[in-house]
Amino acid sequence: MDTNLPHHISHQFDAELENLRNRVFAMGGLVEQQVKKALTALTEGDTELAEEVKTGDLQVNSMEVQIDEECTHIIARRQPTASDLRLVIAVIKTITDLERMGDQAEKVARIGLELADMERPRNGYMEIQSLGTHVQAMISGALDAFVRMDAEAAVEIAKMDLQADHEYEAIMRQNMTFMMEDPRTIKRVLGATWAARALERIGDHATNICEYVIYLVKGKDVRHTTLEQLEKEARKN
Amino acid sequence: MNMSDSTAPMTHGVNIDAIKLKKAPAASGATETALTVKDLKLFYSDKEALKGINMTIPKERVTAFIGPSGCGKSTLLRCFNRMNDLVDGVRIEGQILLHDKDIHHRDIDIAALRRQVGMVFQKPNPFPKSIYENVAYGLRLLGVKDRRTLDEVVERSLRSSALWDEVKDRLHDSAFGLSGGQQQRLVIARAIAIEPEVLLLDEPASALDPISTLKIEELIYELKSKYTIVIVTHNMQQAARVSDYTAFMYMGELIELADTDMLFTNPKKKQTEDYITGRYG
Repeated sequence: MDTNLPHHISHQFDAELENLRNRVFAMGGLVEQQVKKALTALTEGDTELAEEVKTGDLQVNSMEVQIDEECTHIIARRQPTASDLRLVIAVIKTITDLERMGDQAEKVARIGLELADMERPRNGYMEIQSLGTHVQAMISGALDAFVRMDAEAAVEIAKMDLQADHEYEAIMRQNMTFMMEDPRTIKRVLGATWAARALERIGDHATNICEYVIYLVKGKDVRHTTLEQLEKEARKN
Repeated sequence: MNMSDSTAPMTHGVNIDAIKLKKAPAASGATETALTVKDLKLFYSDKEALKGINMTIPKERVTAFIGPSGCGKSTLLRCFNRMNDLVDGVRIEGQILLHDKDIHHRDIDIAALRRQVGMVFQKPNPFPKSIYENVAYGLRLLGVKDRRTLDEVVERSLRSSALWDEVKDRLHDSAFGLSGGQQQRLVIARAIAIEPEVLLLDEPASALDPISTLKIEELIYELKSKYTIVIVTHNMQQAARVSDYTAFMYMGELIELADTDMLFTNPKKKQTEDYITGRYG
């Protein structure tokens, strides 16, 4: 599909689709912000920031509902076809994943609140920070691929999920060791593990968005396939 | 069985027995081909209206032709039962095969061809006769006189075209008393009374209200189990709803012919994409 499609005969329809794209980008930006704040709240024990994330999630939820409604209107009034149809479908799916990322960010913030009163590890949750930074890059990369309708970039972002998975596994293994060494830390280490788990899930949601980008651009549903398959479809002309 | 009936079929290329017994002519495989178009070119005097069309129309499926006005979709449809023969200054090159027989071959009886390939137009055109006689007309032309056969065929055709319940108590009233949508279904009943193989529909619902349109679409869905249907429509959503395959034509060329689901979600050609999404080319 050409990313530079000519205008619709109906300029109003153009405006509606443009607006839809912008709103998805805005929602993505907000989610990205939420993840960033939640991560800082957790690693620095900033309870105020954690509360901000909890309120922010309400806004993410309401954006999801609004964009969904917008999509329903477009389907009812415009009966979109081909790339327009795929855009609307991809948007509906993308915002579901964005909303779930928002939930995960909120979860990280809540854990941050719990951990704030407890003793902090010497490295200041460095490994969680690292995983968090990695998945943040995945979110912005996936959104960027979405907006630019760049299937190949989407594949590159999807590939980043492997590292997220590895980092999560490493954190798990390390945390189990901590808990065995000193059972008094179990509560705190368990919390940190849950936070890492939430971040790892965010990486999965970003990967889903990459799959929708490939569907949007290439018209091929690549969910539940392998990375190789993803790459093959994205490179197809 | 009346003797006068069974003399007609062979010479006219219509299987009267099949009509009577409602036997579809030979059960078909998954996607047998009904019509094959090879390098079809059509000229109106000097103007090339069709520029070398190659396509196959699968049997007992609905194929829709879409495209902007003047793209040649109606011209192509009219080729299938040689309606363009009636237009002055038309020259046709290439082939159209109906079951491997070239319909332009000199041995082809045009009247028989048009019985095999029936046509329904945009504006309902019932004859100034009763509802019953409209449907029975084709059979009467074929020399069928037996009242019971006629009654049966009229009822069956009207049932097939989903009109029976609405007209069964006034079969002998004038067809002009019917609404536009009913008239169009009557015309379809008239077309299928002689059991054609192919039914050509040229914008069959564009002069009808939305409910009548849906009834026609529902009818098309019902009829495709027995007939090969080719429909020309300006309404893309209609093409998307009723057809199994969709052909997009532009400036006398066939741009893309694909599975309807595919064409409307992921067309391969940019021109198709631009047209179905309503963009400037």
